[in-house]
Amino acid sequence: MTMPAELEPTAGAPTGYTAKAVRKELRRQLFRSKTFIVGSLIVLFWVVCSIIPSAIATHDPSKQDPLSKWIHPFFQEGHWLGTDRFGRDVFSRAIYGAREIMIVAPAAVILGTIIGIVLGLLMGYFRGPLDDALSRLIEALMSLPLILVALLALTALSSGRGTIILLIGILFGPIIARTIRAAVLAERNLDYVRAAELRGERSTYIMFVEILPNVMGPIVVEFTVRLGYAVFTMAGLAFIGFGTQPGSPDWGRTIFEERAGLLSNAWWPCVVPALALASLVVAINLIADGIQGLIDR
Amino acid sequence: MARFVLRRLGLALITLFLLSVVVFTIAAVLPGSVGRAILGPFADQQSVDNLNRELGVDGPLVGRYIRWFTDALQGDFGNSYKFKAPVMDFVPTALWSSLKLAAMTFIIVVPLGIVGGTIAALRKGKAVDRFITVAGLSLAVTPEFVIGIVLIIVFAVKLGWLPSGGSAKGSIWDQVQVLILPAVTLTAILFGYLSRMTRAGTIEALSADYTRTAILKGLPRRTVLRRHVLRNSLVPTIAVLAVQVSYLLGGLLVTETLFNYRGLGLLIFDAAGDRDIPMLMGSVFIVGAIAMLLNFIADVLIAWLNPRVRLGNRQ
Amino acid sequence: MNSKDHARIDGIRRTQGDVANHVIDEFVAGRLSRRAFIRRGTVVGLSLPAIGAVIAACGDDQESSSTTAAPGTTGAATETTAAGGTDTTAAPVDTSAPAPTGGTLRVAGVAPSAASATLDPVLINDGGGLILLSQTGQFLTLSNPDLTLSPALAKEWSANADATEWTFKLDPAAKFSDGSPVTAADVVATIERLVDPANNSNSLSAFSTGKLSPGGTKAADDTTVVFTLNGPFANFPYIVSSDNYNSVILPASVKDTTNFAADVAAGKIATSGPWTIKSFDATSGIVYVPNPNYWGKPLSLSGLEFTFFGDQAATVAALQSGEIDAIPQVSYAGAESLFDNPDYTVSEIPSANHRQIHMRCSEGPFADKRIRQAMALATDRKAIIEAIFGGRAAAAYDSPLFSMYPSAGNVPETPYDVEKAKQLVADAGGGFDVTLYGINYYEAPDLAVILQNAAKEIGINLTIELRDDYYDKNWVRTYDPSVPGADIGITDYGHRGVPDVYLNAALKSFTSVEDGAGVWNAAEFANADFDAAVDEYSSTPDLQGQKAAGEKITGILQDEVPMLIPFAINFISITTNKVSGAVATGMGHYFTDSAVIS
Repeated sequence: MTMPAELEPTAGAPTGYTAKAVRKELRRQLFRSKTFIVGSLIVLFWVVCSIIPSAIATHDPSKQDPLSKWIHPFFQEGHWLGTDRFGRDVFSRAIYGAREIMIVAPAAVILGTIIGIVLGLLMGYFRGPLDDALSRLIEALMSLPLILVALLALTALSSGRGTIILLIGILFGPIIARTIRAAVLAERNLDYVRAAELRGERSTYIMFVEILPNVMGPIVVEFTVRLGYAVFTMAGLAFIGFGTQPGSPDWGRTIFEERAGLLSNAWWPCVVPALALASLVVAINLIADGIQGLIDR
Repeated sequence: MARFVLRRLGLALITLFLLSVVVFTIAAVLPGSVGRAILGPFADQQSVDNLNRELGVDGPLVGRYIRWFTDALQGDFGNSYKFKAPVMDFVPTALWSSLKLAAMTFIIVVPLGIVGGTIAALRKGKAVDRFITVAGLSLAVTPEFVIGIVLIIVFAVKLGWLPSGGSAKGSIWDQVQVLILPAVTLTAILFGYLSRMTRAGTIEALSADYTRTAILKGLPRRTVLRRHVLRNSLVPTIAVLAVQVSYLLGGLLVTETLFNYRGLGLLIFDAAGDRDIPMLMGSVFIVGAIAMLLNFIADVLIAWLNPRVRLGNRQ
Repeated sequence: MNSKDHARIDGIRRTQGDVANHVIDEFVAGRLSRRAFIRRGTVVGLSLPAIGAVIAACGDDQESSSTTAAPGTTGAATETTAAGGTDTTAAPVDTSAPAPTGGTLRVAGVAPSAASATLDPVLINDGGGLILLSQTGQFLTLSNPDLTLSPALAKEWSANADATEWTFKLDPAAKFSDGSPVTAADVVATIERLVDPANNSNSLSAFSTGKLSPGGTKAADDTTVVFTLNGPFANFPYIVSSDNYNSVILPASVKDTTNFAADVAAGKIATSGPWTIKSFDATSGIVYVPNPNYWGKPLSLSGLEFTFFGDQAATVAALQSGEIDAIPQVSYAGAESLFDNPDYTVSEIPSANHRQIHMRCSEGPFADKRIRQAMALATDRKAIIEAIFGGRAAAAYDSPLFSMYPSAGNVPETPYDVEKAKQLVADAGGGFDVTLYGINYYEAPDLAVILQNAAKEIGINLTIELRDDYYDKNWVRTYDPSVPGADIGITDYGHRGVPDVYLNAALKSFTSVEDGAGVWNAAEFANADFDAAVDEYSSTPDLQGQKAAGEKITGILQDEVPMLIPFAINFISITTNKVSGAVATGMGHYFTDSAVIS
C-alpha cells in the first residue's frame, strides 16, 4: 500500500469511456464485491450507532447501579453483555462508544490525507531539491518516537478531541505523502502530463486537476488503511492518559480502564469494546480490499 | 550502485542534522518548569527557582544548541538531571535491551509474516487468504496491553512456562525466555501489517511480465516463486521493516511497561515526563540516528534487489 | 485503685516530664481509652513498661505486654479496628527473634521519581524512594502501623512543661555500618541539613509544621539531643519519626548526599539500618546485603532485592508467577484476584492516605456555602468505598481529623441525603455546569466518574478534566497569579501520623510561602475561627484539649465544607505465604528487619 509497484496499474486508466460511464461501471462492480458489501454493512451499523445510539442501546451508558455490578454476559437481568464494576451496561457502552472513534478517526485521517496529498503532489511533481528537502524532513520526523510527539502535544495543548485529530493527522500526513509521491512519480512521465505542460498550464493546475484524479485510487486505499491505524493509535494513546476523559464510553479508554479485569476473570468489560474495535477496523479494511480489487483488475 | 550509496549516505547525514534540530527544538519548547518537574508539586517556589538557575535552563537557544550538537557529535550528551550521571551511562544499556527485543521480534515475525503473506497471495480470495487477513488485522488493532495480559495470564501465571516479565540478563536461554512473551505480543501487532505487505508484493510480482515470461519459459513453479516472485515481493517488506524499527526501538512504551522491560521506550517516556532534557535529547537522537541508518541500509538493499529503484533515482 | 497503685503511678510520674504526666493523669481520670493512652503515651515519650505499669496500676484487667517492642525493631503493631466498621487485620508480627533461615526477599518497588533518583535523603519525595530509605537508614523514633511510636535510635524522649523543648536520649548501643557509634552530633548535623532552606529539603514543610528552625537542634552531650521549638508542639516526636522519612540519621561527617545510593554502595557513607546497598540502578531496582555492623536484632534474611515496576498489572502478574515475594503497597482495583486467595497473605492497616476534593470558596459556583454542603450530602461515602476499594477504606466526613487519630475527638457522620442536597442547590439558585479537574492516576478517574454521577443527581453537571499537569495548572493559585486553579479538583494526599500538616498547609488561610500556612490551600478557604482552632489544636499539649480543638475544627469544616474528604484508604500489602514478619506502615515504609522466608 505504501509501495509504488502495486499502484502502477492505475496508470493505464481505461480510455474511450466517458467519465460518468466509468464511474457507473465501477459502482456496479463494487456492489458485486462480497467483501465490499460485508465491510460496508458493518461500518454502516457503527455509523448508525454513532448517530443515534439511543435507538440501539438498551440502557443509559453512564448510569451506575451499585446493586448490579459484575453481572456476567449473555442476557442476564436485562443486560445483554453484562455490567462493569459500576453496574453500567456493557452493551450500551459499546454502542455509545462508537461515536468518539467515528468522529475522531475519519477527521484525523482526512487531515492526514490532505497533508499527504499536498506534500505528495509537490514532491512527486517537482522532484529535485524540493523533493529531497521535504523527503529528508519527513524522514527525520518519522524517526521521532510517537510517544514523544504525543507527550509534546499533550503538554502543549489540552487533551481534547481537537488535539488528537491534529496529532494523528500530523503523524499520518508524511506517511501518506510518501505513497502519493510514489504514485505521482509514476504519473509524472505519462503523456497527458507532458501534453498539459506543453499547453502551458500552471503547475498547480496540472497537479490538482490533471494528476490528482488519476492517483485517487491509491489515495482511497491509503485513506481506508490509515483509518484502521488511526483507531489503533487512539487506543494506544489512552495508555499514556491521552484521549477522552474518565466516564466516556470510548472504546480505547474502556479497553484500557477495564484491562485489569482480565487478571481476575472479569473479561467482558474489556473484551466487548475490543471486539467492537476489531470489527470496525476489519470492516474498513474489507472495504479497502474491495476497492483495491477493482483497481487491480 | 556506488554512486547511489554515496548519494543516499549524504542525504542520511542531512536528515540526521535535521533530526538534531527537531529534537532540540522539541526539548526546548516542552512546557513546564524543569525545576518543578524535578522537585515535585510540593516543593516551594524558591527551591524551584534555585534549581532552574543551577541547571542553566534559561540561556540563549542557539548557543545551547551549538554546544549540545558539537558535544553530541563526540558522543557526549551531557549529564542527566535526574540521575546526576552521564546520559551515556543509560542510553547504551537501554538501547541494547531494545535491540534485543527488536531482534527477537523480527526473528519471530519476519518468517511468519512472509510465509503468511505469500500463502495468502497464492490463495488470493480463498478462505485461507481471508483468514490470514482478518486474523492479522484483528490482532493488529487489539491494543498491546490486552494481548500482553492474555499472554501473561496463560503462559506465566496459569502454565508457569515463562516469566511474566523482567530484564533480559543472565544466560542466553534466560534472556530468550524473558524475551518470548513481549516479542510474541509485538509479533501479534506487526504480523498483519507485514503479511499484507508481502501479500501485496507477491500478487504484484505474480502478475508481472517477468513472472509470466519465466512461466512461459517453462521454469519449474518452485524456481519461479523463489527467483522471481519472492525476490521482488521482499522489496515492500524490507521497506516496512525499516520503518518499524524506530517504533520498535523508541515506541514500545506499552509493551515495555507491561513486561517491566527497561528499554528505550520507557527511558524516553520517563525523561519527557521528568523534563530530563539531556536524557531526552540524547536518547531520541540516538534512536533517530539508528532508524536512519536502518532506512539507509533498507534503501540500499532494495536498490540491490530491484534495479529499477536505483535507476529511477538517477534520472 | 488502691493506695499502692497510687504510689506506683506517683513513682512513674516522678520520672516523667509535665507533658507525659498530663497524659497519665488523663488516663487515670478515665478521659482516655486504653488504646488512646498507649498511642498518646508513646508519642510523649512514656516507655512501654511505664505505660504497662500505669495500666496495671489502674486495674485494667487486660495485660499490656503484647505491645512491648524491642528497640530497633518494628514489632509494635497491634490489633486495630478501622473507623467505619470495616474489620481489618493488623500486619503480622513476629515478636520472637527469628531463626536465621536465610533467603532473599524479592520485593516489588516503584522507580523513584526525579527528585529521588539518587536516593538523596534530603530530596526524596515519593513512595518509591522512601521505602528504600528505611532499608539502610534509621530514625530517632519509629511510627508504627497503629500510630504508636517506638524507640529507634532514640531510646527515650520527653518534653518540658509547655512542649516547646524536647529532649531525646540516644541508644548508646546504636552504631553505623562502619562501626562508629551514633552520636548527638550526627543527629544535629542531619537535622540542621534538613531545616536549612538552602538545601531544598523535602521535609521543610514538616519541620515548619513542627516549629523547628535552623539552630534549634543542639547536642547536650554525646547521647542527648535537645530540640528547642519556636512554639509549643505536642506531636513533635512524629516530626523526627519514620513518618518524616527524610530524617534518617547520617554521620556528621557526611557533607554531600547528592549521590547517596552510589556512595553507600561504595562504602563512602555509613548508615545504621539493617541493610546496606550492594548495587543500585535507578531505573530497574536495588540489591541489598546485610549491614555487617547492624546493632539491632540479627536478621533472618540473607538478602533483599527490590525490582521496580511501572504498572500494577505487571506487578500482580510477577507475584502470581513467582518472580517476586511481596508487594508492599497495592491498590485494590486490579489486584482483586489476590484477595481471598489462600496462597497470599494480605495485610491491611488503616491509614490517613486520602483524596481531597476542594471546592473554591472565594469565587465561582462553589462560593455559596449551601452548594458545598449539598455536594457533601450528595456523596454516598459507603457506596464509593465499596465500588472503588471493595470496602477497603474508612469513610471520612470532610475533615482530615480521621477517627484513626486519637486526637480527632468525635467526628459526626454527614448523612447521604440527596433530597436535602437538592433543596440546598435550589435555595442557592439552582444547578450549573462546571469542570472537575484532578490528578490522573490512582483511583481518581473512578472517583471522578462517581462524583459526576452524584452531582448530576442534584443538578450540577461536572465535566471531567483529569490532567497530568494538574499540580502545575489547576491546583493552588494562591501565590502564583498565572495559575488558573480550579473551582473543584481532586488532589491526592499521602499518609501522615498526625494530621497537623493537612490542617496547616491545606486548610489554614494563606499567609506567605515562607510561613508555610495555607500553601496547599486550593479551596482558598479563609476562616479566622478555623485558623484559631488549628493554632489551638497544635499548641495544646494535652489530649483532652486537642480533642476539644479537633471537634471545633471538624465542626467548622463540616459546616463550611471547603473540601470533600470521602474516605481514608487502607494501606494494603501482600506477600506470598512463604513470607512473614515484614511490616508495612501507612506512610509507605516496609520494615524487613524481622521478615522471614520459610
